[in-house]
Amino acid sequence: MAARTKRYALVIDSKKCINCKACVVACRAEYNVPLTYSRPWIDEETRGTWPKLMAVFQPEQCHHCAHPACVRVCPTGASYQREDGIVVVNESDCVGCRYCMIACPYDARFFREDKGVVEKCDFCVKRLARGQPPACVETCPSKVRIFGDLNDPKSKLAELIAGRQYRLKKPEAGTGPQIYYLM
Amino acid sequence: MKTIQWGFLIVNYLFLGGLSAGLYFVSALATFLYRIEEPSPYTRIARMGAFLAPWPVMVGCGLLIFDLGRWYHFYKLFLHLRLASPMSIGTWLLVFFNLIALINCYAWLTAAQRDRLFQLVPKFLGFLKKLNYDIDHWRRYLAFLGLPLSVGVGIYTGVLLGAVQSRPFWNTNLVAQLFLFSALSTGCAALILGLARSE
Repeated sequence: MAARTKRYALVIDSKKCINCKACVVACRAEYNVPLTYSRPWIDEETRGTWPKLMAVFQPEQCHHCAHPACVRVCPTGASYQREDGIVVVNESDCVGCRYCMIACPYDARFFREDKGVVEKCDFCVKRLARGQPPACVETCPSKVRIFGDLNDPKSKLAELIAGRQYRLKKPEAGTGPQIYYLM
Repeated sequence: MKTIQWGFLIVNYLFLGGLSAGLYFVSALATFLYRIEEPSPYTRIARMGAFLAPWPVMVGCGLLIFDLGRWYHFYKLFLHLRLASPMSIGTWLLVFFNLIALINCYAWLTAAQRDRLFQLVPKFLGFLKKLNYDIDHWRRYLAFLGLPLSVGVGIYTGVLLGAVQSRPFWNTNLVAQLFLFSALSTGCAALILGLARSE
């Protein structure tokens, strides 16, 4: 069987999200991110008028775009896209110019003042290499996040994308985001 | 996580870079118009522009470097050339513009000024005095070389902001033009101020 290139993506079933922030805590524990920042976060929104109110929680993070704007503008090539679609930052090449943060339509990157470099979600590449799913996916108690390979038609993720309606965030930015929010 | 990047230092750089670009541009235009043998009004304009041009952009480059998260890693910008990134193009433009502007500044010194400059050289660096050349005849070549570079330095800051498709307010080609023409007008204004002071 020929080697197939992987394309990692994330499906977020945001209706199941209960805003427990376990994903944020798991990520912070995994990467030692300072308390003022986080790689994933949850957008809280209140819709409707009183008394008919509804709280909407939308987990957010790097969308690992198909044509990442952050990679295009990086002056040193520190931000790059791996073959499996994951956008990562090479910390030793990053000079901390923060152009990528300005270019990101999702504001998914943050600047570590202590290290002087820009950090972002990398789909836990170290855990993936060990065969484990990303920390936020593993820890999510209400199974909001489904992680998988887009190019594998048998994966749960491909099944969900084929069978359910989904929404992409800010597709008009032209970056081809790869986080699918189920309706 | 919305945070504001590129604060005070970058804002000042945008002004100083444009100022230098405008000064050099006007000085180079005046260089094309003057004749070396006859006294002409363009000589003063070209000389003043050449004297003022290198300094604001050098300060601006310092600001750029110290805005970096790790300023001591700025040399990494010069280990790469990525034509897709306006910032990478800009760093190279700035290097060459700084060099040309400095040489041009030297080329416009009068013989007396050059001698005074080389008197300041300390004794143990005496070999530097051999550099006391008369390069007046380079002026027009330097203007020719530096003109596209000064337009580049004036316009690239606008491209830097305009190329960001995720900020709709910036993402228009007009931003680049705006930066270029405001650079030229700032340069002219600085030149007029300089000429008025020198009278």
